[in-house]
Amino acid sequence: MKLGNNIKRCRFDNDDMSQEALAKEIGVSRQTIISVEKSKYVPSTLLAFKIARFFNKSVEEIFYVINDEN
Amino acid sequence: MMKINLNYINLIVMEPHIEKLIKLTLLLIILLAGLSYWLIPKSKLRSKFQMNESVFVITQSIGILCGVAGLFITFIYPQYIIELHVWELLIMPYFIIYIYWLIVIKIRKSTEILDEKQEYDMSKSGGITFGISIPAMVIIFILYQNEIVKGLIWFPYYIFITILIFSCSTLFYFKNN
Repeated sequence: MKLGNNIKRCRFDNDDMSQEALAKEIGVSRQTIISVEKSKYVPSTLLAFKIARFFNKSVEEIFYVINDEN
Repeated sequence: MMKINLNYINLIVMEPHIEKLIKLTLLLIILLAGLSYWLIPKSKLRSKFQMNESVFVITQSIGILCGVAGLFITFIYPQYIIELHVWELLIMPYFIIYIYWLIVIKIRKSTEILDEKQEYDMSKSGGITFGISIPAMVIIFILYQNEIVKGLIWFPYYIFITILIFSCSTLFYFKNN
């Protein structure tokens, strides 16, 4: 199982926001946003909430579970 | 006629002076680091001391450079690395960058200066370093048992291997995971 996300789409919907700008708003490094976006790093609950809150969405709208079998 | 290696004689004559110079340099660096830690958080310079991605990457890069340089010099000049305090000098840049971290911690009055992924990467690297340091020490022990190496040389080997593995793996995980 992997944790997918819609962060890239949300960034584009949010005035084509850069990863760096999002990282600054959330208070993490740009590399962390890159890793979360690429599903290489699973964020903590707190970080997931911070990202969701920033885009005015629920955590489920941003993050979803990908089943490997599917 | 006996051939005299002048370079070797020069080094023997100069050894106590070099040792004194290195000791003095180390003392000066430690004093300056202590003063910086004490004074900078109270001064106007405090705003310049920031923790960000670049500082994190620079820290790991300095660790890699110190590790490589330390291992190289320990291998080439094992007789001087401890006697002349060269290993302490080589480790100083790494020490200074962590003093920078401590200054940032003091300014922010919080130990939370890294983001969660950086902490996660460092923890993972700590585990890897621990795992690799055990076989590395076994190899050093075997070398001692067979009298291939002697004296206190195990210490600089151990410390530079540890710094190199830790910094390499932290940087690798930070950039690739």
